[in-house]
Parts: sequence; structure tokens; C-alpha cells
Amino acid sequence: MITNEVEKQFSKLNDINIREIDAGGVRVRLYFIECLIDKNLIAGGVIKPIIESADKLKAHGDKLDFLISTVISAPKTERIGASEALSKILAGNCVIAVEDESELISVCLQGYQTRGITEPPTNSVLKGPREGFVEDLNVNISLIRRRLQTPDLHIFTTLIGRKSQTKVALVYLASCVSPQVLRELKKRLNKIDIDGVTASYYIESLIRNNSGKLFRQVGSTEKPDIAMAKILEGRIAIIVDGTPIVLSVPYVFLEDLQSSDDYYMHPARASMVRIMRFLGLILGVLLPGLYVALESFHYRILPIDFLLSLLSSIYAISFPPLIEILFVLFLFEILNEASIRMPKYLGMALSIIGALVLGDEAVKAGVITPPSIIVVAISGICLYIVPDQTPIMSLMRILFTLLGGFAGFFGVVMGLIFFVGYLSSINNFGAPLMAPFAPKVNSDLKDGLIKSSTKQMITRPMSFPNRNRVRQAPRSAAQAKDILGKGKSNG
Amino acid sequence: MVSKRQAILIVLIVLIATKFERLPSLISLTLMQDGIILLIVLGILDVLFLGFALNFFNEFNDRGDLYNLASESWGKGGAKVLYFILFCYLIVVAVLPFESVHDFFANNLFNELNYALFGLIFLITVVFFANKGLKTLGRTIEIFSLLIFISLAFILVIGLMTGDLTNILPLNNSSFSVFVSEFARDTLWFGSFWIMFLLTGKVKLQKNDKITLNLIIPYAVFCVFVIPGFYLGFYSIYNNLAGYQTNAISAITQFAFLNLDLGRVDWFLVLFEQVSTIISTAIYIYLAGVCFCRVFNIKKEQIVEFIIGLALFLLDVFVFKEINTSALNFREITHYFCIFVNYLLPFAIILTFKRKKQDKRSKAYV
Repeated sequence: MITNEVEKQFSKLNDINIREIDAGGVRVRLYFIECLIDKNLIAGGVIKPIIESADKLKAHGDKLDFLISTVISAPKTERIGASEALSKILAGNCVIAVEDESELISVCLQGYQTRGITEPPTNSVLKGPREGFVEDLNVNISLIRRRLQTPDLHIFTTLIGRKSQTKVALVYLASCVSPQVLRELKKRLNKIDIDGVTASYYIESLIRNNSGKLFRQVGSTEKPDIAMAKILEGRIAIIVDGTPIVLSVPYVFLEDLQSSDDYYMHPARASMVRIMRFLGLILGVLLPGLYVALESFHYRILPIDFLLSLLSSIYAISFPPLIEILFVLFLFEILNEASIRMPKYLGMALSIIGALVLGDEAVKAGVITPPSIIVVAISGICLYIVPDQTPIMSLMRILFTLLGGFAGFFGVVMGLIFFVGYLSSINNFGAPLMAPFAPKVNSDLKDGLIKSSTKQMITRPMSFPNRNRVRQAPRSAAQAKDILGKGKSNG
Repeated sequence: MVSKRQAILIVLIVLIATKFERLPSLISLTLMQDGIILLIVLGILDVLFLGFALNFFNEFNDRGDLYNLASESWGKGGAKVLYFILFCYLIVVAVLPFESVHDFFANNLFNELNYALFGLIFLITVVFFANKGLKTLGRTIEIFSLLIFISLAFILVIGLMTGDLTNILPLNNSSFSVFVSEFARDTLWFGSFWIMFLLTGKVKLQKNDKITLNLIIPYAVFCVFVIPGFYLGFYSIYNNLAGYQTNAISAITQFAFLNLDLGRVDWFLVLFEQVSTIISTAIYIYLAGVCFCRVFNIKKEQIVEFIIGLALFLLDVFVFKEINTSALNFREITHYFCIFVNYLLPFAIILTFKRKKQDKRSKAYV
């Protein structure tokens, strides 16, 4: 009996439900896990129709075929073998066994609770779409599919995690994506051998190159319009079931300086904002280090009025500048961590205690100085201009502070050269991380720090491998020339 | 492999590194105002030899690197001798940027600089770049080049605006023999065109693409206008005292904002310019490592590059503590060798390699 074979597989599953129906003398058994399926669907779309067509079922030769084609009203129904039964049930399907049949029917009745589509907290926009991805893979695919209504949009699904069996979907435009990148990504996904994948970060960390471990090598977004734009550029979106963060490859550093808002405002304003982000990021990373270097070694650089004013603020402090700044940075990181983890209703109290009381009293007690608080505050605010880079850049900030404290400007300059060189050396999925600046890719600079209008961006990016260069029909001979390959760099 | 743009920038960055630190004050010690004539002559010679180097590069870039070409023309032994000479030359010229960075930080920005810490940080950075190779060096230069050129332009403008330009007159006071001997000694600072020979076979070019005027024009602008122009500004500020300024680029902007040694915000500009010097050290160490590995058939370039970096560090710690005497002694020892490599070796290479190519062609024709 096939029922024995099936039931042997989930003998250890104690939350499985077995419902037996006598359909005019034919025994039909339904296997499902109650919390994973839609109860209304199973009652109205499976059980009720089977009972109602009991007489006809007995008379039919191929009972499974009759049930699939005539009786069950669920949209996704298929024949499966006994070996597939367990995985189908665990995925939220109902498996139906019919007396004397050697095969089974799997009916997709997934019906668990998911979060509604809301604006993601990490990607707020003023004028753009406000929809955000959710934890459900199917909903996320639908959000992209709705925006790209073309048969060219391909979805490749795979399961990752020996125990979690997490669904991971690769979404791409077949005519635009580079076959090599797609092949490489599938190869890296296939290589993953892990017990479970709880969120997309697992995939991100498992598919990155060994070199350049410190920095992001995979893009991420919570917004379907951004994912759609990346897919249109020839990238591959990686959707992981159970997480609202959608990954994308290939990735270049410039992506983090871009925001979806940039594309919904005038290019001049977008360019200004991007330059501000870039300068803010540099200031955020370097400012504490430069301050420590100035105060410790190079006070001669400061104009005399400013130097006197600074000296009057710091004269009473007994700690060296490096220790003082590290202490303030440490406090800042603690406050930051506490404000994220603490219940929201305590947030206001924390701000008052942390920023006002603690900061003010520490200055009065002579533990820290007002300039150091200003420096760390400016640096902290600047780092949050580019939220995707904040975690790693706050680490860099500490490193540059140490370099400034031990080796002054020399340390900071050497650190900066090393840092840029390190970033420049990273390649992932055929994309140099610092492109289109290094190597310089002229055509991609139109969407660089200075953003051109949408009219001028007629080609797909060339900083990473993709196919089908043309995005818009050229409006002039110069644009047509641009399409023919000008601006390609090979460094 | 590097792109055409990266190759051009590598040559330009090597060209400007070290020309603005110790060299102007050394020249002014003996030639004073006439130093500008010497710099123009050396610059014109450099442009001329760059033309030869580019001619060679454009002809042979798709046929392999300099070592392979030398093996074809001179045999393996000849190629090894050439690469050993180039290794020695690169080590000699690598000392200059290494030492000038040290000088800038030790004598200007720090009251006391910890030599060991300086050397260690420098060593880590340049060896990292040398290990990563030309591609990373090229990309890093692409990012920093604009910053370097802008800061240099500002320094130049500030220098020319601050000084009394009439101080450069009257010209042509020095005797010919002094001029010739100073010319011979200062060749150590020139010869950046050699990078183009060493980049042969390592630049990705589109079919029928060449590097010609897009390098020669900026190179000539730097050699004939910027470097002598910098000397003009420097000398016009310090006049007879120019020879006592150990670091010209730091000295040239000293009186631009305030007549004090306080409030030197101009040092930020100098810091950006120093990036070129630091990167050029890494380029020299990388190329020296490549040459050494070819001569002795060593596979692991990284170890050799680390040892070269370490040797420079030790040289800096034990030999170059006293900048004035060490720089003077160093150029005395090395100048004949540099004249040979800068102005004779390129001719030998070009003539013999081209002849070999012609022989091959005529044999194929027969």
C-alpha cells in the first residue's frame, strides 16, 4: 500500500494531520500540516468536492486523473511519487493518497500568515513607490513580476539548507544577463552546504569571493522598484524566502551612493545629493582620525585663532586625544546599539540620558571635551548618509582614529591609500568594486556622482558583464556612437 | 594588464613624484637662477626619450614583455643582464620617493617621527600594492590622480603668486662645466619614460590603438612647464636661501596664507601630492620585484617585493637619517649609472630589437 510507504516517511512528524474520507467505498487519505495550509481551501476545494463526487470516483478507471482534472479546484495540483511526499507536505502542500493507486496527488494549499506590504524602514522615499518586499518569496516575486511583464523575465528556483530547505529564487532578464555571471552564481549556490538559511545575509556571505572579505560584494534592497531597475541593468536579483532583503549581483560600490529618490528628482539635485553623500562618507570615516592627528601631532596646521579656541576647550583634559576620541566613539556605539535593541518607548529616555545628561556631565567632569563630542557626532551623522555602508565604515573610522593617534597624518594618508587600493583590488562576478571610477568607464559615469538625465542614459552599465547594451533608442548620432562601445575600459 | 588610461596615469604619476621635494633645492645650491634652464633641458630630453619609448611600446606591446623581446634579440643571458641592470636602476630610483616621503613627514609635519613606525606603515602599504600588481596600482592611481593634479596646480599657483618672479633674473650666470656636472648628477631624478618600456606587453589596447600624443602632451607640459615653473616659484620666494629648504613643495606655500609657521592649511594640498610619491614607490618596488624574479627564475614575486621593501626600510632607518648629506652622497654614487640607463640603454634596446624584427621579416619574405 502506498499509504504505508508514505506514512513510514513521517513517522517522526508529530504535527501531521491525516484525514481519511470514504468516497463511495474508495478510501482517500489526506496528509497535511494544519498550520501551513489554508483551512478554507482544503475544506472547500478538496474535501467537499471529493465527497460530492464520490459515486463518479469509484466508477472512474484513473482515479488520480479524475481527481486532478475534475474534482479538486485548487490551482496547483500535480501527480507525485511517494518519495516526494514528505517534502511537499513540509512545504505547505496537501498530499492525497487514493486506495489502490501507486502515485499520489500534491495540492498546493499554502496558507500561512505573512506581513502586509509596507514602506521599508531602510529605504524611505519622498516621491517614489512606497512598496517594500516582505518575508514571503511568492509575494516578492509577484512584486517584481507585476513590474516586468515580459516573458524575458526568468525565475530560477532552488532549495538551500539541508534542514531549512529555504527557497531561493534568482530573477533576471534572460536577454540582458551575462551567461557567465549566471553560471557562476548557480555554481556558488550549488556549493553551499549548510543546515539552514535564516536570512539573505547567509547567502550573501556564502557567495562572496574570498578576497576582500571586509566589504560588501553583493547589493541589497528592500524595494521592488530598485530590484526591478537592477534587473533591467542586467543584474540578477536573489530572493530568499523568509527575508525582505533582496540581494543582487554583480555589485559595485557606487550603488550604495545611489538612492531610488535620485531617479525621481531633477538630475542637478540628484547630483548634489550624491556628492554630499560621497563627501559625507569620507568625512564620517576620516574626521575622528584627522582630529586626533591634528591635536596630537600637527597643531601647527591650525590657524592661530582656531588653535587658541581649541586649546581653551581641551586644556583641562588629562587624557591623550586618542584615548578621549576612542572613549567617545565607544559611547556612541553603545548608545547606537542600545537604541536599536531597546523597546521603542524607552528610546526618548535613552536619548535624554545618553546624549544630554551623560554628554553634558562628562564634559563638566573633564572626562571628554566639547570638540571631541562635535567631531564624533558629525562623523556619526555623516556615516548614516549611506546606511548600507554604515557598519563597515564605522569600523574603518576606528581604524583611522588609531592610525591618526599613532602616526598622525602620515598614518591617515597611508591608511587612505591602502583602503582605496584594497577596494580597487576587489572583483566579484566580473565587476570591479570601484567601477566606474577605477577602472574608469565613461558611459557609466552618466549615473555616477554627477547624474545625467534619463534621456542621456541610453545604454546599460558596462562596469559589469551583461548583454544587450541598448536601453533606449538613440536620439542623436553621438548617442548611437556611444552604443557602439565607446567608453569601455579593460583595466 | 592595465588599460591605456591607467598606463598613461602611471607614467605621469611617476614623473611628478620626487620632482618637487629635494631636487629644486639641490639644483639651486649650485646653479641658483640657472636651475630653471637645467630643468627645461632635462625635461626636453625626457620628452624626447619618451617619444622613443612610445615608438618602441607601440611596435612591440602586442608581442610580449620587455624580457621576452630581449630574449629574442639578445638571448636569455642578455635578457637577464638587461633585467638585472633594470632591477638595480629601479632600486636606486625607488630610494628617492621613499626617502622624500620620509623627509616631508619627519622634517615638516612631525616634531619627532618614530622611524620604526613610519617604516613599518610604509612597508606594509607599498608591499601590499606591489603584491596586488599593476592592475590595483593602476586603479588606485585612477582614483587619486585628479586629487593629485588639482593639489599640484594649487601649489604651483600659490607659489607663483607668492614669490617675486624677478628674483629668477639674470639668467645664464653659471659656467658650462658647472652646468654639465649638475646635469650629470641630477639625471637620477629623471627617466620616468623607462616605465613605458617596462609596461610593454602589459597594456591592453584595442586593435590599432596606440599611446602617442595622449601621453606625450601631458608629459611635455609637466616636463617643460610645470616642473621648471615650480622651480621658478620656489626660487623666486627663497632666492639664495632656496638651497637650504630640504623640502621644496612644503616650503613653496609657507608664506601663502600667513607669515608664520602656524596655520599651515596648505599642508593638506602637499599631503595629496605626497600620495603620488607613495604610489610611485610601490610601482618601483613592484617593477624591481618583477625584474629580480625574471633574472633568478623566482616564482613568488611577493616575497621578493617584501624583501625589497624591507631593504628600503632598513636603508631609510640606517642611512637616510640625515637628509642633506645622504641625498648629496647618493647622487654622487649613482649618477654615472643613471646616465647610462637613462640615455644609452634605450638606444641599445630600440636599435637591436628593431633590427631583429627586420631580420625576421626579411627571413619570412625569403
